[in-house]
Amino acid sequence: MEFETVIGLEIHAQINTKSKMFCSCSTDFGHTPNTNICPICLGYPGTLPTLNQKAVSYAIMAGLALNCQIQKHSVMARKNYFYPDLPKGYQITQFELPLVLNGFLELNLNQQKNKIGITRIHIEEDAGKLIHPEQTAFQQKNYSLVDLNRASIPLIEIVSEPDLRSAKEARMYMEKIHQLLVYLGICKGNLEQGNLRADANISLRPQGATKLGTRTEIKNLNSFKILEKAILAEVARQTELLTTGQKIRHQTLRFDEAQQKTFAIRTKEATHDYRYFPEPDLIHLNVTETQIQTIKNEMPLSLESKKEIYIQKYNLNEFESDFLLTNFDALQYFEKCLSLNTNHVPAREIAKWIVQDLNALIKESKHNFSTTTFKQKHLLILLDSLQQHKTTKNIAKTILKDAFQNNVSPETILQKQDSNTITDVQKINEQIQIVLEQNQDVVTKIKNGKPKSIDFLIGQTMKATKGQASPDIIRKIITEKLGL
Amino acid sequence: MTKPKIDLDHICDLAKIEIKDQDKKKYQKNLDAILTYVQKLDELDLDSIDLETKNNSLSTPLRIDENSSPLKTELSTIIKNAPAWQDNHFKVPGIIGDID
Amino acid sequence: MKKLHLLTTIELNKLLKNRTITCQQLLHSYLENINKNEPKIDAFLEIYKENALTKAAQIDKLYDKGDPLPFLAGMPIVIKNNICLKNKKITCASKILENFVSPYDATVINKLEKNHLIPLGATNLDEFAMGSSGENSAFKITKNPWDFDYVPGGSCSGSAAAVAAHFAPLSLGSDTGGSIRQPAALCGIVGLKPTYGRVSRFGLVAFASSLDQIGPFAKTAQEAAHLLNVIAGHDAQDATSAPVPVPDYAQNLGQDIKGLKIGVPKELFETGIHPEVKEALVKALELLKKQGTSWEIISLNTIKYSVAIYSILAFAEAASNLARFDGIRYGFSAKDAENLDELYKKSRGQGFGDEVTTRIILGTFSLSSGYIDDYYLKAKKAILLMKKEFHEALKKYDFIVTPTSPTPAFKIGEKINDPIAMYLSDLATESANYTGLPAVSIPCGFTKNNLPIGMQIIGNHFEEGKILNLADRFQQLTDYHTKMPEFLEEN
Ligand SMILES: [Mg+2]
Ligand SMILES: [Zn+2]
Repeated sequence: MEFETVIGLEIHAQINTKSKMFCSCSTDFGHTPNTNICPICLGYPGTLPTLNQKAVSYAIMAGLALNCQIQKHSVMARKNYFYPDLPKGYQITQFELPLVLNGFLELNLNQQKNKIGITRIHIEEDAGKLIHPEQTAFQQKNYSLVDLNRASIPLIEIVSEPDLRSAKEARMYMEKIHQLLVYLGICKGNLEQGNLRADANISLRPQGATKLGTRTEIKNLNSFKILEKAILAEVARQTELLTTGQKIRHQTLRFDEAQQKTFAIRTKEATHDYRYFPEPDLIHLNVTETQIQTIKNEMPLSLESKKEIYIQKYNLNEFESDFLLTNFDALQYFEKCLSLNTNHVPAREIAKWIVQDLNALIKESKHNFSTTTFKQKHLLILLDSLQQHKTTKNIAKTILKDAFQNNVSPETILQKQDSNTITDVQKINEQIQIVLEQNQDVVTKIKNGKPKSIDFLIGQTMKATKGQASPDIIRKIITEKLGL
Repeated sequence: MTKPKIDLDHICDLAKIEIKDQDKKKYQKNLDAILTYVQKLDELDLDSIDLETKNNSLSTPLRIDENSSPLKTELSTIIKNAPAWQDNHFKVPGIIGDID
Repeated sequence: MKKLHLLTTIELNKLLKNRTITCQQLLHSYLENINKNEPKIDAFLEIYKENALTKAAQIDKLYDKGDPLPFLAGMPIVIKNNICLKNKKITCASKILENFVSPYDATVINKLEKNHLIPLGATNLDEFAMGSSGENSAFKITKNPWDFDYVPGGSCSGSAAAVAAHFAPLSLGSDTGGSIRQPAALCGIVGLKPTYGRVSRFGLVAFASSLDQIGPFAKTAQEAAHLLNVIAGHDAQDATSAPVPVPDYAQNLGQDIKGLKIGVPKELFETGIHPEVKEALVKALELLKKQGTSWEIISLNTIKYSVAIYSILAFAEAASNLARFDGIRYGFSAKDAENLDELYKKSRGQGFGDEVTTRIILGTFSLSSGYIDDYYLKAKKAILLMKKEFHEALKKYDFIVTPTSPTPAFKIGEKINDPIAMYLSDLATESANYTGLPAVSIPCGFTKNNLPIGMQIIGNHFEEGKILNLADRFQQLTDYHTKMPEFLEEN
């Protein structure tokens, strides 16, 4: 029998706020464990939550971007369960009345547009982190450790309809959500830091059937690749069970990457009775039409329009455009460059340098585009002098590295370079003389009316000077020498 | 209302609270007595009451997104209060994997 | 002159201002009384003697400078030990928090500091404010200053007893179903539960979040008004705190009460009311009538269901609020746990007392799958119905007046094995918590056995000033609040 795969995703995205969902602690990543905490996010007795305004407006923005209906009246709720990463013994989330309902996301798969339904988007707080020292998945150590720095980081949970039909489509959906959230600045999108995680609900049904089969849920898939692989593994497992006449059990699973298999997490039935009720410490969340309109007005162009501009108007290639539109910090960096770009360096040039050389340097320095001290202004100075042929591409690369690593402006390096070039004019002259002598045939060509061939001579001279000389100067000297 | 009888073991498992075997009878008796009393509520006609109608309900105030923490607290107090602390972490008995 | 600790804050304020006495002298007077009589009462879990002495010396310097100071500057105050003070043990009278130290101050504590009051000690309570007799404390049983064989009421057993015993002129408590008003009645003092949202809950260890309110204890309505001035007001750290301006409650006393109408719900006289309580209440109403007010019997049918609602709603919120006590981040942690599940169950099982455990189980049950509609949601609906009833009544009447407690103080141990009988102590007070209305209890008589009787005055939202005004007028006409427990007269 042929089976149809039915997938729904719940995506948890950390919202890009400065402070946590219910307290003023920072959301920065990478602090020493349990230092980015306060009595509120530790669930200390007597503390009370206050709701982060930015988290609410970002959730609304996500809803608008996903064609959803924003609910004027929604309710925060407590989800009660015990776990060491959950300080209060309940998670503050939304249950019956979420902030956002009913939307869709359009996917292009095999030249076909597919509308994937968005059931709801709600706001909630993240849990802390558990560390299991020297522990393999099947060997229980006698203790685990709890870091609560992540506790109460704002999240949105985006719940899709079971509209996805393959692992590949699920992956595309997650990638698209990721790109959209990053582009809008809602989520930083660092998958390695757990900014975006998906739970996948998977079931199979005979081809043509309308009734849904029994589903399983794979928890905590934190990369596109893992999501795709986990779904493939689970579909294979379910297919095997069904074709051999066995039943699928409604289970919670996790994916083991090493074995490429899904495994059931042993949880007691009791833990599934979450005893939701309205959070009495936070009264209802009401949103006005004006607030929604304000957020709408603040939203940038749609992702599609932006991409079109990048590719059509700025001539970025697909890779550069996707890199920027899925990397929030790089995108901010690029846009800032554009806004400072008074000398009209082509946007494509800026993008190219950001995506390639600068990205490499920043990665090497263990920073990102938002934390790097290298200024947009400095990149532009460098690219401008490159545009004006005051330097060569190779030299520019060295200057960038130099400026980046020593935290100086490329201007100072360029000035030094300039003085070098001037004193070396004699050297360049000598070198040009050699090149001309060695390439008499090319010289003849030029004199016979093929002026473009001069570029070859310039290239040869540059090679000989190891890129130390400015191509402009070389051109000037050759032109003079040949009496053109 | 449903017949008042608390499944003590199940609820204690949900509430993560242990009751000694010798105390169970006493708890069961008290709980059943309270639940029986609570049946009084059935005398009220609550059918017309709609919990969803929230006329002029206030919205929860929203906090400006700043990471100035007025409640910054000394880690030493947090550590002193922690029953088990190791390598900058709260220590708990070993668990496999994350749930939820 | 009378001993200083027997004076009112109104009298003391004058003496401090004109420097007839110092804060330190005043403090020593209270400390002396505590020293002598605390062993009989057991009101305290901790006395902040050193801190208080330092503080008193500082405030004396301010008085000496002659700067204008807040009215209650220099007055000692004792605090229910479920309100957080930085670097102090906050136990909630529970074994589970026996060694817990708060890293922060509650908002009300900040306000006390700003007004130069002197926190003198942490008072005993029913564990996590759950109880009506004070007997549920994990550490000690506070005795009623009027008769040591009797309970002081609860859950603010220590705060009420301390003021009645003149260990401090003022105290703070918290009220979820009557925890301020009922012990105030049983101890013969004034206790006010403000409108929900009037006083910040930040730093109050939660029992039932939608019902909890911090409020003042004092011997007179006038002093309670002064303390309410200090603690009331909006707090951005409490999302349920009301952004409503705070009037000067003390300044606004002395208003005419002529023509004001009082409704007295008949439901509270239909079951289990002590005849002497009834008699005292009617006498008090008649006295107020002579001042130009009127009273009549009304019906507030939902009051009868108060305890049923409480047993569902308050316990459900409590079960959730008390989930944080899990033996991981702070508090008691079982040493013999072999896995996580055992850590939870043993820590909580051994850490919580019987009454708290009972309430957690009931609250968990009321929210659990299959029962939430019949229990939790039904209780919420009953509250909506009650709100409607009270709203209608307060359109016609300025006040709703009831006995605070259906009975005077009962004997220690008398009701401990009968939960329903115990819960019914709060039959008259709980409705003010469901409706969020302000309510005050004031002494309105004594039984033949010399046990105090309290009268409750409920007013409309944010009309603390109006109920305090009526209470103040009543106290000017009576002398119940000037009576002292016998042991004080002896020494
Ligand atoms: Mg969730
Ligand atoms: Zn925090």
